[in-house]
Amino acid sequence: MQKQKTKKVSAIAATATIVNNVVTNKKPLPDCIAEYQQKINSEDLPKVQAYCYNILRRYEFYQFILDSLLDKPLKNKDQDIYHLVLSGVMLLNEGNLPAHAAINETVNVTRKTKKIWAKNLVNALLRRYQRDQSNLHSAADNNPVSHYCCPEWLLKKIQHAYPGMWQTILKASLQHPPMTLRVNQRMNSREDYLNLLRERKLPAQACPLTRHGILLEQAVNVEKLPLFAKGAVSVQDSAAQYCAELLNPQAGDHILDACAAPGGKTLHLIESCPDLAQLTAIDISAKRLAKVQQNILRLAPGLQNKFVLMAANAADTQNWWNGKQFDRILLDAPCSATGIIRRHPDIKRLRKISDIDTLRVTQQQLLDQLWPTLKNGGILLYATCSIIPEENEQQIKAFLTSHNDAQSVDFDVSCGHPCEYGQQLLPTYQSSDDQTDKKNRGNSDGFYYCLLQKK
Amino acid sequence: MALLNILNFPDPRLRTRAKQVTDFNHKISELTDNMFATMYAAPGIGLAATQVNVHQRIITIDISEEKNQPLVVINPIIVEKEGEQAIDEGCLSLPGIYEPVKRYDKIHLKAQDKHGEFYELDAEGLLSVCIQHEIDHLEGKLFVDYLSEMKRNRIRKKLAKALKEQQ
Repeated sequence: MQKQKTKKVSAIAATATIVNNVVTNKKPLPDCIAEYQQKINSEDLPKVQAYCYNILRRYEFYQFILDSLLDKPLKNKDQDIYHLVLSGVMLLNEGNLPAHAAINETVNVTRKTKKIWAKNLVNALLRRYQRDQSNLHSAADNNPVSHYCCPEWLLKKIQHAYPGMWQTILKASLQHPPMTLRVNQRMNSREDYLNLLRERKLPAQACPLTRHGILLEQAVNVEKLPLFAKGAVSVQDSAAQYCAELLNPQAGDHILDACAAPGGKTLHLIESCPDLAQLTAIDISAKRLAKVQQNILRLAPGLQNKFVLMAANAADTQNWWNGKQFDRILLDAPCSATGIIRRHPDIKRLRKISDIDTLRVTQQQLLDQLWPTLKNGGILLYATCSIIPEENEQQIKAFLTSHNDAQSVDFDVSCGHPCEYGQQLLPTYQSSDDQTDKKNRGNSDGFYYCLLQKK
Repeated sequence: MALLNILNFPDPRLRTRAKQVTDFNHKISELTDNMFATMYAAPGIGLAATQVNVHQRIITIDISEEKNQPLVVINPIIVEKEGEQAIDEGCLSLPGIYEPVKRYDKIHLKAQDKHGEFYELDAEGLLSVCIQHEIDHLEGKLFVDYLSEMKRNRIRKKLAKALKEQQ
């Protein structure tokens, strides 16, 4: 028997299929790309990734345009064609290809599918877009949903929570995020590592917001980073780097990381205090917990005996807790991830309004169940990468009302948005002409932090 | 080791029903070595002795990417089968032709190795398909037999044309 070589598809065909899979099956973009990878020529892969991110970043914008172009909506079973045209519109708009080539590439995809009937439709729609581009764009920009490329329910929530700032937040969520590193302080100083990067001709600067952060001017594959395999640095957004600083682990501490995978923050804790007594890392997914293990081997070889790894639901304390209370707890709770949309634009497709209530319940259970595992005088750091107050400030407010032995501890992070409890970091927007702004405020994701102390 | 000549469809010798192997002598071992060499060179993932004009119930298989998991299947019997799958199959006797064929998804196989030792094997996915495809060869059956008469004729013409162009 002879095995068939997997037929490779064009970049635009792959883009359309992947985006369609994300949108219709509500599956995360990285998973969809990985599933389809063997059908993509390796040299096309970066292009396909960029195309997918471009479309998902501005999905509502392209959707508005395509819906205006269509006389009547396409059937449910033809969503693949819908997303093919969407990909074609993106290609015409931001694809760096001559228009005729972009149209040709897109139309050609229909020849290789069983939907040859769609050939003329795809062609007509793209040519109509080409003719009416400026009108269509201005119409799309007049509608906040398509202008800010944000689902209506989320737009309303952000408008409501941040009346004076919602435009900036939404614009920031559309920007391309920087690649941010965290220097492993046990191995080298930030200055040393900046020098190493300079030697490799990788332009970078110290991140002004954090002690160990470095902003790369251009994203690179981690294998190109000096000493990455040896554990000199990790990739982590600057907002997430406050975690270890705020929890501030001390020598001899027993610490719990309740939702640890993939372990970025877990490892930061031990990097900042290798003398802590024990670090218990729990995650509900055994598969994702394996990533924590990999990160331990890379970043803290020799400190393995300090870790206890358990695959469990942290809220189910009866199942995993031995009754010994912790000095400090990091609760990086499951959340809507609305603060990291610029890194994961597929969030806008995957989340729906009802998820917020489900997540609130999960977060509340985690807080309630983990609180008894904390020593008197101990500190719990509640963190989310959400910007929705229900998951953050309001969650904590409710918790404090029902727990008399809990108090919120004040702290200051330079870029936080004032809250009644804790600090809300918002995704930072950078206008291209404002260099001083870039230096002073850095460039971070949206995050929420609140320090709770047990009386 | 030597490379063997692979018979091409519609060669009538491909229709021969193969005989049970009873004498596991050095010739069998030599044959399987040559069949592996021929199969790897083709390149293919499975070869039945029928395809090299030896009409004994002998199959060589290796579905690994690294070509490091050779499997010799002699006197095979499928004792259990379940499920259904259809992947595009190709055959070294019909180069360049790929068509989906309905097969059992999971099979349980009893067979002998090249020394005549009996063994059992659970197979699914590609391995299962490959075993079923090769056992068909031993029966004088080809995967195109599962297709419609029209499709089979089209393939026959296509192969004849390709052969003509080669000469």
